[in-house]
Amino acid sequence: MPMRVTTYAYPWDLARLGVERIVRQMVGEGFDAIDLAATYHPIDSLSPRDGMRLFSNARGAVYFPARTERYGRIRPLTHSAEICAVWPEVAKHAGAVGLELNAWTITLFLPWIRDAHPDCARVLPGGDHSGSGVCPANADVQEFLATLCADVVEQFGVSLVRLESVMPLFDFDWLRSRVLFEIPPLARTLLNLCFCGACAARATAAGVDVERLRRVVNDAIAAEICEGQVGAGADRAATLAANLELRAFVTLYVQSSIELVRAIASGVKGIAGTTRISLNATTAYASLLGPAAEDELLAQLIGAADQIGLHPGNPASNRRVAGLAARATPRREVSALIPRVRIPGSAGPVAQTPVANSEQAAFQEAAELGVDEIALYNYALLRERDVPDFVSAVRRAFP
Amino acid sequence: MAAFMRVTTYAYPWDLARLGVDRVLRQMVDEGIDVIDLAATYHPIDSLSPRDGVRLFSNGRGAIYFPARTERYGRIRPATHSAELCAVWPDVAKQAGALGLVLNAWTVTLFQPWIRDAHLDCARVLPGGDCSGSGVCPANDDVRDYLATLCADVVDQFGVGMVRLEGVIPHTFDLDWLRPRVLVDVPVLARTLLNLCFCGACMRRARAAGLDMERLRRVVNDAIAAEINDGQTDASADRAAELAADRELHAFVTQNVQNSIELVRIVASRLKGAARISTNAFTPYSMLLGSATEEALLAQIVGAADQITLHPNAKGNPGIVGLAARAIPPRELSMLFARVRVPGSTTGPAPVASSEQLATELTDAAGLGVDEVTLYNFALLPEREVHEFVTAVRRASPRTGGPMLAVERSHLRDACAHPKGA
Repeated sequence: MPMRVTTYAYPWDLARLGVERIVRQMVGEGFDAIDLAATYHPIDSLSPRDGMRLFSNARGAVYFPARTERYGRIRPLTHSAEICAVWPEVAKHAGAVGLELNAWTITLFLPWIRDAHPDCARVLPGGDHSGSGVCPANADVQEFLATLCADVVEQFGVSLVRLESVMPLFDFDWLRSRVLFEIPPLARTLLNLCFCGACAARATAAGVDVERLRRVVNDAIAAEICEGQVGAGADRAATLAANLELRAFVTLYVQSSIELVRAIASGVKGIAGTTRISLNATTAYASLLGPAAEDELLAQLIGAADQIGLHPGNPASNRRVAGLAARATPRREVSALIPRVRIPGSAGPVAQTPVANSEQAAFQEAAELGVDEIALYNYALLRERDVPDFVSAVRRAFP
Repeated sequence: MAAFMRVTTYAYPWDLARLGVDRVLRQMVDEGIDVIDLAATYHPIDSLSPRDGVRLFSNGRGAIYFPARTERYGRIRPATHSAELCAVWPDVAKQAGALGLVLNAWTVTLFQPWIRDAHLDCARVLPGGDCSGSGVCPANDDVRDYLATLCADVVDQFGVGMVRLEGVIPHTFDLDWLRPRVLVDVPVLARTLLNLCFCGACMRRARAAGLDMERLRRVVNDAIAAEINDGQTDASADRAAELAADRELHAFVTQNVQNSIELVRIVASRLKGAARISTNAFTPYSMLLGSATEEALLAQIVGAADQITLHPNAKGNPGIVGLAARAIPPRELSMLFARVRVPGSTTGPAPVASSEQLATELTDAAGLGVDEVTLYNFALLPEREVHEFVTAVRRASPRTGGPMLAVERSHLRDACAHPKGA
C-alpha cells in the first residue's frame, strides 16, 4: 500500500491565497489529505507565498463556524467570519477533487479558555495557574472539546480528527519564557503534574491526601533545583516512585487525558462512524510510574484512538509508542509529522536543521517504525517549490 | 587597577510582591548590589522563579506595573496590572532610599502588545502590509506621548535615578514572537528589509519628506521575495548594493532610525533632567545605510541618552564605546549580564556561563571602561548565583575599603542625579 501523504494548513493562508487554487495545487502535488486547523493556539506565522505575510494571533481561537448554541459553559471563541468561511469552502472543493479533509485540532493549549475561565487552567504544584494551558480533567473542558469535534465532523464530513497534545507539559511553548536555572528531569516530570480544582477533587475522591502530596512534590522539586543534576535525583525518584499516593495521582492525571479522548471519540463516532481519531502520545512519567505501568496507560491512550501521530525529535519515545500501536488490537495506524525546515526561536541568527539530512533521517525512522502516513508541516509556510520536492522525496523513499 | 564598576540588578515587581519587598531589598544590599532596576512596564512573559518554591508568573499581553496616574495620559491609557503588584513600586521607593539602594525604572517601550490590541493604528506594519502582533511604532505620536508621560509619571512619583529604556531602537520584525512559525530561510538582506515599518505614521513622515512610498514598498517587497526565493546567493550582495544606492530607500531607513532617536529625545525632554536615561545603541540597517551614515545615527542615539547599555562580546562594542567617549559630556556605559539562560520553552541543557567565561567577560567590561554591570535577573536566579556573580564582579573590579559605605551610596545617588561631565 503506498504511503499516504497529508499536509497541515492554516485557514488564514487559504483565505489569502484562495481555497480552490490551493486545494487543486495539493491534489496536483500528490497529497491525499489536508489537515486544516479547526482550532489554533497563539501564533506568529510567516508565509512566503504571494509576498512575505505575517499572521498573528495572541490567545488562540476556533477557525470554523462553530454552532455556538450547541456548547456548554465554554463557548467557542471564533475568529473572523472571513477566515471561518474557509472551512465550508475547503469541504466543498476538497470533496469535489477527492482530497480528504482532516480537522487538525489543538486541544489544551488554548489560552482564550484560560482567560475566560481561570478555573479551567492547569495549576502548577506551586499553585500558579498556567498562562496558556487548560486541564483535561476539567469537565467543562472535556465537554467543550467533545462538542467541538462533533460539531466540525457533523458540518464538514471530516475523515480524521487530529488531536494535538492531549497530554500537556508544564512549559509547552511559553510566551517569551524566562527560565534562568537548570531544571533536572525529575523536577520537570513533577512540574508537569496539575493541581487544579478538578485534579484535586478527583484525587481526593480516590483517597489521596492532596495537600500532603503537594508538599512532597514541591519539596522534591525544590531539592532537585537546588542540587542540580549532581544531586540525589535517582534516590529521590526511587523514593517518589514508591509513594503510592503519588503513583495514584500521576495515574489519575494520565487517565484524565484518556477520558478526554474517549469522550471525543464517542461524540464523533456517534455522528460519523468512519471518522477516525488521531493523537500524539508522549511519555513523561516513566521515572515515577516505571516503564511497565506507563506503557499500560499509553496502551489505553492509544487504544482510545485510531491513529497515533509521531513527532520528530524523540526517537526512543517514538519507538515505544509505535510498538504499542503495533501490538494494539486492531493494530493502530501510525502517522509521522515531518517539518521540512524549522527555525526555532524568533530572532538572532537563523538556526536551521539541514533539510535534506533531517528529512532522510525522518524517512528512515518512519520506515523502521512501519509508518502508514507522512504529514508535512506546513503547506503555505513553505515556498511553492519546496512542497513538490518534499512529496517527491517521500515517493522516492516509499515507492 | 580596574575602575570600580557598580552593580545593578533587574527585578520583577511580582517576585518582590511574593518574596517581600523589605526582605529582597536587604538581600540586595547585603550582596553588594548598588542599584535595583525594577520593571515599570513589561512585555508578555512566562517567568519561573526558584525562590521559595518554583513559581510561575504569566502575563499574555504586557502591562504597567506601577500605579500610573491615568488622568495624565492621552489617547493611550496605561493598562496597569493588579493593585497588589502595583503597590510594590511605592514600597520599593520608600525602603530602597532608606537602605541606600538606588532605584531605576526598567521600562519596556515598544514591545507592548496591549497597546497594539487597544490601538491597532499604533502597531508596526511589515512591508507586506500586516500589522505586528506585538510591537508598536516609535514614529506614532500617540506612542511617543504615552511613553514620555509614563516615564515622567514614574520619575515624578518615585524619584528614580535612571529610566532604562528597553527596545526603543528598531524592534526587529520578529522580536520574541509568540510561538513563531517560520519554515523558510530568511536571508540577512530580507531580514533587514522586513525590519522596516510601513505604518501610517512612517508612511506620512516619508511622504512629507518627498518619498514615493508606493514605489519604495514595491522595491522592498520585490527584494524580500527574491531573497526568500533564491536564498542567500552571490546575487544578494549585488541586490544589497543596488538597494544601498537607492536614495529614497536610504532616506526611509534613516527616518526609521531617527524615529527612535526622536522618541528618546522626547522622553528626555519630558524628564527635564529629573532622571537619567539609559538605552542601547544599534541599528539593524548597516548593509543599507553604509558605515558612515550608521555611525552618525549611532552617535545621535548615544547623544540622546546619558548611558548606553552593552552586551558581552558584542561585535559593535568598541565602536559604541568610542562614540560614548567622544560624546560631550562622555556617556556612561553599562553592560548587561544574563547569567544563565534556558532559551525557548522546553527541554535541553541550560547554557550556563562558566565562571571562567564570566570572569573574562567582566575583565573585558572593565577594560572597555564600563561603569556599571547589570545582572539579569535577581529572583529568577538561585540565591547562590547572585552571590557568585557579585563576587566575580568584585574580583574584576575591586571596591576599596570593603562593603559600600553609606557615604559611597550617597555619592552614587549624586552621580545618578548629575552624570559625569555635566
